[in-house]
Amino acid sequence: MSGALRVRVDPDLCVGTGDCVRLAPLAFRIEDQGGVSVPQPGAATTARELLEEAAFNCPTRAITVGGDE
Amino acid sequence: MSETGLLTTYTSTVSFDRYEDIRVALFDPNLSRTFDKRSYHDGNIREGIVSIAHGVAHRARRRVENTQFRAEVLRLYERELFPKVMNALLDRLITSDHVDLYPIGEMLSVVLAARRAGIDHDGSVAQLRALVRLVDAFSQGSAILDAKDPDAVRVLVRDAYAEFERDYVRPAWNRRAALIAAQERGEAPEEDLPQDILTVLLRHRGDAILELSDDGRVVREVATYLQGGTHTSGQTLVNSFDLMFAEPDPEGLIARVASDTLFAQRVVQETLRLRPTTPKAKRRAEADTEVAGRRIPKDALVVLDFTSGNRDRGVFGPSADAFDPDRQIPANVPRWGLSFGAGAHQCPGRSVGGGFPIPSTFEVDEDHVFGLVALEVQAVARRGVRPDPDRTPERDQRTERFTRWANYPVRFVQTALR
Repeated sequence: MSGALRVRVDPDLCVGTGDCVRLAPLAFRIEDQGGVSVPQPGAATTARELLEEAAFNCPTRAITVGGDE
Repeated sequence: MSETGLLTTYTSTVSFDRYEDIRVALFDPNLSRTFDKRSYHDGNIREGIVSIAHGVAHRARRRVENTQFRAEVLRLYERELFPKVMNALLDRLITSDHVDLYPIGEMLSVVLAARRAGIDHDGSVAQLRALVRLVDAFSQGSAILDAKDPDAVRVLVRDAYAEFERDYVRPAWNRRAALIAAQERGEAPEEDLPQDILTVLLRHRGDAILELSDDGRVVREVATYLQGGTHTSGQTLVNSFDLMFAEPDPEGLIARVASDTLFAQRVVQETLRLRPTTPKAKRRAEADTEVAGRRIPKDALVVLDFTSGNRDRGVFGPSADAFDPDRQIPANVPRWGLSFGAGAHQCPGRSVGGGFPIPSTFEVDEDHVFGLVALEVQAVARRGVRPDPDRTPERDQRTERFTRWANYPVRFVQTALR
């Protein structure tokens, strides 16, 4: 284990399906104005497997999970 | 390319039939749903709609339209709006012991699809039938690459758009435009605006990136959501019973569906896997690319065989061809396989019809969404549906798509399950 988990959502790719929010509601939120997903502080305490599942299932591959290896 | 700039031939055809390869292809940004102009652009039968759009305009359109598919909206549909509408409508549609299940499925589904699309109607069976007739035309348009007579489909769809705009979209448009204007003047709260696709399109069409300045494009976009929300659900309802009727103990399966909503949802998701509404998806290579080690030249036709991919034994096990709603599948594989696509063009309404993913434990929490088709299948099962021994169902002969029905006669027996 080294460093913190980094979760990023590319706002240019995200289309706001909300699938990530359903999978990990503490880690993501859909921003009302832009309609795209934004990582939340809760991502730091969300299981890595759940974040990776959200990234795998994101239809536009907008989510990347890194760090904490 | 021809002299008129129309792409009339493909450089080659590349087909994929393995689950993982198809999934990779669906995520490849070089493989586009924008086909030759002859198939999609002449006569504007699909021009500019979200499922054909590509790149920045597609993503921008999806961002505003996806607001209508959020979990809280789906729960509102499933728990408050749909059950009442569904049972009242079934009482009106099942008027004898012998009925055609296919139009029942279509009419059940078109009620909520119209609401989500932003189309107002009086709730009468006559108007629902009119909407279903229009949906049928739009469905033929969406499958024009598989149509046996594409020219006839173009004429049919153009006429359907004209009727749809005149009788449904314009009245709904005028009502919503007035409400939006009142809200913008500060005379009405935002919460009073309808929650539907037409409203969000009208509110955002000033944003040039959405490419919605053409009124016809708004009409076609609304038609797309009406059709998409009706057709797959209606066909899947029929296919669910067709698959159960073919099993050794259909009455046992129907009794389980009637008493267990999560089992009903597994039946629906297994049906979607075996009977994808789009059996083979097609893409055009906009640039040279490579998928699963195979080189695809620019302007190649890429055929993605969802039917085969959904029966990939390496993913769904040795019994992949069988109907087994209780099957276990690997993590990160949807029970419906590839039937709603994947990648940027994945069907936005997949959770409306098919519900949320089902955990391998078959245990769900109170926030779970079962999907409207599961509720429809359960409601029909509770009314004691059985095959009609005297009449044979007929498939839709106008298309090569084997999952489409023209009619499906059934009978209803007395049951204590309702």
